[in-house]
Amino acid sequence: MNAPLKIVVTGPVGAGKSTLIRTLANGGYVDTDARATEAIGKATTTVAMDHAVMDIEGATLHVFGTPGQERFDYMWEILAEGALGTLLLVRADQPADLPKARQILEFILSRSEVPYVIGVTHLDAEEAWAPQEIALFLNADPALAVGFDPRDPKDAIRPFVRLLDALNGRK
Amino acid sequence: MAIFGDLKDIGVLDIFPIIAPQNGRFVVEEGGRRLIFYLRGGRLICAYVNDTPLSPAGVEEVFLELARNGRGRFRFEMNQSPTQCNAALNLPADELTLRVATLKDEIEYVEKALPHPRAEFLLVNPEKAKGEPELYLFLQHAWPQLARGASAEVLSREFDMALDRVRFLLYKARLLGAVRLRVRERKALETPGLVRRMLAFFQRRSRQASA
Repeated sequence: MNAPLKIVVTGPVGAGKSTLIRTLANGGYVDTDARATEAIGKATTTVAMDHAVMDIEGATLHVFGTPGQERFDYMWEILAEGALGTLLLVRADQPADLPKARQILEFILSRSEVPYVIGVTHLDAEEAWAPQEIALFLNADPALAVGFDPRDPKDAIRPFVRLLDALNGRK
Repeated sequence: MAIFGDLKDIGVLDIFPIIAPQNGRFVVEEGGRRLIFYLRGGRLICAYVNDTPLSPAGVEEVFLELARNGRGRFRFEMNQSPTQCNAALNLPADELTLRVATLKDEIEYVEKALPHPRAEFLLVNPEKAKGEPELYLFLQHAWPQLARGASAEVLSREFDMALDRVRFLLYKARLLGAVRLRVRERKALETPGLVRRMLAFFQRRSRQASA
């Protein structure tokens, strides 16, 4: 099996997309972060896309991260073409980002047949929404929402396992 | 002396009521577009986008867009009259301003809840929008497109309406149950063996990371 495989990571600015891909990549990573010119709550932001490659027993898995800013929304559709699945990342401690996350999810649901999972980050914040509560706001199946820490190599795998479980037909 | 400036500093809804009672033309230049509005005694008599005349509905769309995006250099040229009006409008400028200001406020109030411009919607029950005449009329026009699924972006292009107005109309239609999000069926997996291998790979990596 030599055809390249693809998973797309998307979500609002600051949800942890670049961090997750960096953690997964083990060094095989293309970084396109630039210094933020707007007040977006962090010093740098992704301006093109993040990309990591993993070799899985002869098959190559590409993980692409889309930029979070609205003006790059069109990239998601291009990257999602032929993807195995999409991972939508959402911060548990920033309710202000939830309407944007819902917009992205609705866009995904209506434009593509690609399976998806919701990865919930920043659950260690003093105040945080539970993954199931976020699923409720997004009008999504709570079984598809997974809490995880994108900085932790062990934890970073969890949403991918959940996505693969979903692909494998297990809820 | 001339009245001029940038819409990012003085919004179109601020400047328009000031110049509207006078006779002349209001010119806005933005991103390769040239908008010209001819005014006479408080009425908008005709309007053009790059020499193409605008209909009354088109004027409102263009105005809403200018009010929302706040982009473009403007100037008011006193006593300039059109040589001819290809499509005479004769709209009261104060009514136009008020309608656009109201619509802009309504849109901004629910801005974050508006659907993604490219999310697709399906018509479910247009009768539920009967109490909202403008919305009902829009749904009747957009019936063929919404019957097979259409986004605000597509509808805005097809009906020459401001994108945000279409997003707002779809938002209202969804609240009333007249339309719903078109959710595509998730694709059936063609390579279950591969997914099982990937799953095993990730699980192995997870075990290695915790060891």
